[in-house]
Parts: sequence; structure tokens; C-alpha cells
Amino acid sequence: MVTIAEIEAGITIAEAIVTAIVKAAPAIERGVVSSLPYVQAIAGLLQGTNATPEEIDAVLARINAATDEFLTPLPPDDGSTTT
Amino acid sequence: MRMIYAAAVLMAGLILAGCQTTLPTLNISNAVALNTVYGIENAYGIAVNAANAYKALPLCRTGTRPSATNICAKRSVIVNLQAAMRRARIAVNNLVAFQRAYPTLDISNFVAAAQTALADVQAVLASGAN
Repeated sequence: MVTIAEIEAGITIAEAIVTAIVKAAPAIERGVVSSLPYVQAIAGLLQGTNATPEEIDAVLARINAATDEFLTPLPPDDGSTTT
Repeated sequence: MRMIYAAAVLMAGLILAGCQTTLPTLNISNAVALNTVYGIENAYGIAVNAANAYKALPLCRTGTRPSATNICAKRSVIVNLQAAMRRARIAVNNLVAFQRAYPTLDISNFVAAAQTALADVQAVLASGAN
């Protein structure tokens, strides 16, 4: 038999999960949206579309720019984010 | 009269055929190489976007772990991912440069290097969930 207290505890956990997801949602959404062209390109290849040197150059420029962004150093650790 | 006409048409055809010094061909191996390079580039693109999305998460506080209620990025994972991503970028750029410089040569070694580097990135990304 499930008690009211157990149900309330479950709801509290669910709320915490939703809150955490909502906080992280913009970053996750950006990642998904910006990956769409790559996914579509791979889908095109699977459907038989042939790549051109121009497309290869364009994607190379995009991925190098995204890599530059990723390789920017993290802020120094003051001890509060040592993980 | 009919014979003269037929001979003239035949002659015209032969002259036109003579203009075509080579038959049009499709370089299959080159197309395959381009598609392979493009596929790896796009796989890398997905990986680097995932890495950027991970890096955009708040950093986990010391003594905490990522979980459903604590969605965060581990500093150590980002640092490892940056090292793996540097290697993968070099491998993918080398692959593109080689294919461009030598479009008719075998790119297998460069493809293998890029695939290995991307697998490393994927492994580090997966470790971020632990």
C-alpha cells in the first residue's frame, strides 16, 4: 500500500528532475538544433547523394569554428568545481 | 542520291565523334572518397556539438556527481574531452587535406586515424554521464 507521504516524496523527486532538465534545456536544445545539418547530411549520404569538394570545405570551416569554441579554456578552478 | 546523303550523314557523325576525344567517365573511387570524408566530417560535427552542449552545462560542484536532479558537467571530463577533440580535429583536417591533395590515392589510413580519434571523443563524452 502506497502512502500519501511516499507519493509526495515521489512528486518532490519528479519536480527536482524537471527543474534540473529545464535549467539544462537551453544548452541541450542548442546542441540538438546545431547538429541537425550534420544529421541531414549523413541522411543524404545514406540516400545516395554524393558529396562535393565545396560541401566538404564548408563543413570543415563550420566544424573547425565549433572546435575553436569548445577548446576555449574553462574558468580557473577555485576549488568549488573540482570534479 | 540516297547513298550520297547517307554517306554525308555518316561522315558528319564521324566528325562529331572525332571531337569527343574521351568518353565521359565517372570517377567512382573519387566519389566514394568524397562521401567518406564528408561522412566523417559530419560525424565529427555532431560530436563537437555534443561537446559544446556538455560544456555549456553548469560545472558540477565539488563532491557532487551528475544525476537526474543535478545535471552538470564534470571539469575533468571537459578537460579530457578538449584533449581528445584536439586530436580528432587534427585527424579530420589531415584526412580532408590528403584527399584534396591526392584525390586518386587511397585514404584508408587517414580514415582509420580519424575514426579512432572520433571513437576516443565518443568514449570521453560517454564517461561524462558517470
